[in-house]
Amino acid sequence: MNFDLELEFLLTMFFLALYLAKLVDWLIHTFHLGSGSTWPGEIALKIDSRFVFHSLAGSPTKIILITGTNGKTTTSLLVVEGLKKEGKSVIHNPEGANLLNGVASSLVRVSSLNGKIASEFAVFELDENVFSLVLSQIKKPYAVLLLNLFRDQLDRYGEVHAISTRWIKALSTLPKETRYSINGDDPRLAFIGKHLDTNIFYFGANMQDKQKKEIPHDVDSVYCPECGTKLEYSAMSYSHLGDYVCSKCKFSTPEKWTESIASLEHLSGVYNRYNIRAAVSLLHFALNLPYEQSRELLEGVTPAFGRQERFTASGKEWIVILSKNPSGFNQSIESLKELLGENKTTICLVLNDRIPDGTDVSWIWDVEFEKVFTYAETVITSGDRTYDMAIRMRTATDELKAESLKLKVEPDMKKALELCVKNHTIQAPIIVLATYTGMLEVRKLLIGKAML
Amino acid sequence: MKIQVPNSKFKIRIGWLYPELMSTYGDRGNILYFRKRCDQRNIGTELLSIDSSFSPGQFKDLDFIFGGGSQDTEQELVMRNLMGNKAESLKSKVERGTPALFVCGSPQLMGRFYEPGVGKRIDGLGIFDIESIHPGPLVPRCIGNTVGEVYWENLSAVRIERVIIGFENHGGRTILGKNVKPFAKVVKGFGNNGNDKTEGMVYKNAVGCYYHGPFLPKNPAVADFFIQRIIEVKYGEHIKLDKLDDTYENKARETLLRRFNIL
Repeated sequence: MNFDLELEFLLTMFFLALYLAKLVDWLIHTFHLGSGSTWPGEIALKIDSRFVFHSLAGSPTKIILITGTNGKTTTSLLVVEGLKKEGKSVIHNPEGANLLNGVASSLVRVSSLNGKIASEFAVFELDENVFSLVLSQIKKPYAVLLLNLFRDQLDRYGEVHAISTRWIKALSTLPKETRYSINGDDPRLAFIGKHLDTNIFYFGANMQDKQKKEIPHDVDSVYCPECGTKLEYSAMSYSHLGDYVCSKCKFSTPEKWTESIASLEHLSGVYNRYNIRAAVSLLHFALNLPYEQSRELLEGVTPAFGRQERFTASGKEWIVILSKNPSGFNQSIESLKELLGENKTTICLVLNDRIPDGTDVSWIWDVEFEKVFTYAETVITSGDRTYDMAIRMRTATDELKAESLKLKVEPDMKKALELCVKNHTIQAPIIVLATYTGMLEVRKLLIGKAML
Repeated sequence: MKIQVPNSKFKIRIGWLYPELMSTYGDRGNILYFRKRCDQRNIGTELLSIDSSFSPGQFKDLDFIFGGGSQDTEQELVMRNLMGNKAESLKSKVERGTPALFVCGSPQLMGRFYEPGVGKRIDGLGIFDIESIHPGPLVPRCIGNTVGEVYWENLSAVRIERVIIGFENHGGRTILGKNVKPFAKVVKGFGNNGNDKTEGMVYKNAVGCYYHGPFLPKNPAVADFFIQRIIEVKYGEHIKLDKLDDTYENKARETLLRRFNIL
């Protein structure tokens, strides 16, 4: 095949992919076959495996990539809302569609019929495990944000160390002018940054959010990523995030932006303040605005669905918090202090073990469930693995003797929510902490829709 | 976890191998649950970390040894610290009949050697007569919910609850030598190597298995077996344990067994 023919062939395949995918996208939307579907992208990639690369070739769109274990959806939402408020046109992949096919789907949607993408910005949140794969098609991102790296679904993702090795390899192929914002409080991410041989903007939590006295149980990276010596922490925020130094090889926390920024009314907890800070750093890059002004753009943004999402249903106020891995769950529990103040309330724990949740529920033993009782008047467990959760909760407390049992166990989700309503007589909102599919189910039962 | 001070004459000192380095995915559940079950029966427990500050001489104080899994990098750190006098002390402890439970990746370290998918062969402690080889990153890992049937006769215990459930996630494949006996027969899952239907291994009062995370909370009978055996070894008394309310445990087991159409 000569060069022209080959080019023509590639173009044909690309447009065939685009048109077919657009048709499917149209069908899905017209007949309400589910929102946020990854089908159009999946089809486009089947026909043209480099569809994402070809879509973006020659496009002026500035692409911002966001990855990490926890906080991707909230941070992406903040960045998108901030950019929109400044009048920028932004495309983004819908939450839950953070694999390559999700990125492809969002490109299918916004491509014009001649294959052009006109938006000024694209914000893509990416699953930490496919991040490297996506970088093989998005070769010139404008900015990359690395949020954190915790243990999560080892059945799917493998070990934290293996993921970071793949990231370094993939990130090393990006052009020098790529801007990086990296959470320098995470030793594993700081290690990645140091091996990239380029200018990196590091951020970290403010000292007020670094009040942990002991190394918690849910850590993965408290040993020096360079030489394996135990790191010495002078301050910790949560999990293995903090200010650290290796006494042997002198690997240490980088210079970080930690000056205090105002928090947001609807996003409580240390972990959300990391998300806000991360979003501000990206807006600061993208819009060339000072931090404070970037932060102001986020005023009034409400949480993404299922992330400290508040609504009223069955005459009660509810807060639903997605809690899907040890560090995430521990942070959800810690945020209850800010959400509830001195009040105790009804807390519903939903544990599912479907593919999006991770099929292994062992991790619940890494969560400090002992603390839940501080905030709970009643604890109700539900979901596919209700009884595993019940065993965990019963082990978590001494007081749970049969008669004073504040623990109610109900595998049927609908009945569990009815129990919440029935038992809840206080002012404070009912709290639901749920794994991914559990969260979707709860929303569907309470407000009649799984997704927004 | 708060443990009330018991007035019982029994006290179990638990040695936990490198809790910071070897608790990858819920392995801690075994410790929390084991202590809870002792506590409910008024049996005292004390938890000691076998880590870099633990001396070889301290092994003699232990009545029960527990080891969980670790990620590859951490495994290397563990072995560097453990090899030598500490390893010898641990070995002779097991040799003299101290009950021990190794879950997830730790049996590999207690075997003759472990060959990782990439990199050099790691010498194990040689407590178990087993050899483990990782077939390389291209061969799929053994992952999923598991069901097994314990060979209680290999543990010279009365036949109690035979079925064990759990979750496995390992790359390495293990072959048993003639000085160990299999712990269980694979009913669902891969087991030691995906071929011979064996799960785990037993040597004296030490048990190893690939089931990871909260193995004891899922299998209260195994937890109780260890409590009884530990007291037998330490005090020379065979005691009958008070029955506990295992409604949730039984339901959790039922849920999984139903999924596999075993119930």
